[in-house]
Amino acid sequence: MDTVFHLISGLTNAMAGMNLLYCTIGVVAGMVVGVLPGLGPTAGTALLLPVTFGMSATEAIIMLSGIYYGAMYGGTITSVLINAPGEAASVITCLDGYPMAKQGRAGAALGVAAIGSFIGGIISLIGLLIIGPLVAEQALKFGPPEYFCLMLVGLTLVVGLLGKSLVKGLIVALMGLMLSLIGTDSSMGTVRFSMGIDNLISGLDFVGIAMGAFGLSEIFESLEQDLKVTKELPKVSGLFPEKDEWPVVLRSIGRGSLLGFFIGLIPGTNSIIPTVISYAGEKKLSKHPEKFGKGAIEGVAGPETANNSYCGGALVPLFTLGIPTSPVMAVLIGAFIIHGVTPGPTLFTKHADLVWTVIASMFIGNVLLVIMNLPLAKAWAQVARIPGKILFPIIIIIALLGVYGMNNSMFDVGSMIFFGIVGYFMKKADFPMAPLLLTFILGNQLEVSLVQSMTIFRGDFALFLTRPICLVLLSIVVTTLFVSAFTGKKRKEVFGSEETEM
Amino acid sequence: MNRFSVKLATAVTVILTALTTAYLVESFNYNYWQRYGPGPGFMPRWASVITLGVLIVCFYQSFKEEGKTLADTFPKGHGGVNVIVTWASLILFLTLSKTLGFTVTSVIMLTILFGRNIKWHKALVLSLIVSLCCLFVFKSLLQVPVPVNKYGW
Repeated sequence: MDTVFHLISGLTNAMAGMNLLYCTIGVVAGMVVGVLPGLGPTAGTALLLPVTFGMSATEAIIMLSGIYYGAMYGGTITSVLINAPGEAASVITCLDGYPMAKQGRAGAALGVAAIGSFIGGIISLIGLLIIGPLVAEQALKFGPPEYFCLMLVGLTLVVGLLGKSLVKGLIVALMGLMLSLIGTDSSMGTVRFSMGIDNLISGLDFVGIAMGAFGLSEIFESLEQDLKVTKELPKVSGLFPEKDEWPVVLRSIGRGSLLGFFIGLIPGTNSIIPTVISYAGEKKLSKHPEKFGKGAIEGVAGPETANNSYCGGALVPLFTLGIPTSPVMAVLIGAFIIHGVTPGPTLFTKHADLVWTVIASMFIGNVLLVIMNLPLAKAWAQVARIPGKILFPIIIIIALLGVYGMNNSMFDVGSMIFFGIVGYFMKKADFPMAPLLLTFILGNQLEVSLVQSMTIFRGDFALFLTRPICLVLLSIVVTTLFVSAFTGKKRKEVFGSEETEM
Repeated sequence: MNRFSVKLATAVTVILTALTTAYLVESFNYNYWQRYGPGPGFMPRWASVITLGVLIVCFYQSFKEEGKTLADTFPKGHGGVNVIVTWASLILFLTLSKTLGFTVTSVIMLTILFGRNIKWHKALVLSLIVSLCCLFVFKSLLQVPVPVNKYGW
């Protein structure tokens, strides 16, 4: 009953003037990010993070969340209309969405994707409402050793599941940790690794690293290619499936919703995983598997639902444990911290207003996206036709202004450029950049909880193993590392070897 | 062996090893343990030692696995020039914006970037429009500080 009361109060707040405006701006910006090839949700949220500096914490998170799930919607449009996925999670949609468009059924494909995304988004938010407070309540019982082990589990899963190589993932994660230790030590106040540079006394700034490693490096990669879209757009008409297709579509949407949500709960997964599993499952369950790849409507409905449902699931570990499970979540956690809010078990109690308003805004955002998507799909696809030669310089100048505005400092601009170039080469050498951001953002908490634990244990590491929860969590860490080391090659053959954004 | 036939992953590993070693050496300047518990050197020392261990494994793997060599890391032709010009313009922004102010630096930078693909006079007009729009949005609308010259623009 409390949940319903909080949600109603959240809805009232979310509908209030500026919150609704920022929600709308967020989903529109997200749609643009999703539609544009070469920019994904991580780069989009990272690049637009500085725009939120003048906002309150609630407004900022509402807008950034809107960009996140808006991008998931946006990617679908170009997948269906021009066979060019705007972001990684929409790759699978091309398989049946584009053939449907070629058969003159682009409207049905987009309609089913929008309806599925809406239902998936709503179901996963309901999941977040139910599971979130329960997990947070349990997490409050954790002491520093348990919390340290929990963060270790999250990071290990991310390192183990993302990227081509476990070893390279570990290196990048450790680099992120080492970078986070630059600056003033939180327990003793000692200035570390500042090399006499005043700007480093307070440490490196998260925004510069995120915008450089994810935003700029992605733009540099895109600049290598010609991103001009020359394909003609197919006609969009009839936004709903045929009458006899509804039962199949609804079943696919139901399965996709649950699948996406539960996969979202697992740190280190990305939104491609639920889409691939959903597609494979739909094909297996279909009475006409031969239609897949040639325009099967359930091949669009299932994966599209799963990728949006994944977003809600991924918010659970962030809101309840303060653990970002993907790069986008790391950017969101950065936004929380910049605005003076620490996500974690106390978020639901200390900042109840904020969290419920944000959740409620997501319901509203999903409704806005359906309204914007169904009748305006073709207009959105036109955005994808803006050539990179015009778009990228504009994005770069916005990024430069944004990162400068953060602390009024050219040092931050320099650090963004530096991490942009470093990220560009690291990606080329197959070092995944996601773990860098995750450990950088968690570095301080990891250190504090480890120092507190070691103080409790008087320096004896073995005492971690005497606490049952720590023992279970450390077993998961070890198992993940072993499984990842021995099954990595096979898994990457199934889910793709490239580092994905989500 | 031609230095450009060295794999990129190997080169990155060597650079990271050098940086991590320097980090480890610096970490010895901070107390590892204090009266009641770990000191400021505790975490950095563990982190850098583990990193060095993993880097050794990575160095070994980089010889065994397939990967880009230094020679084919950077794109050739138009794409490569695009990237280099973008880096140069970013460095230009970094060095000039405090002196010339945002508006002038941004116009120069954007003209260089747009000018790669469209005629220079069109690039100049477009740069001016984009710069002024950005100035308005960030400075006036969002009230985010922008780098300015002594005249305040």
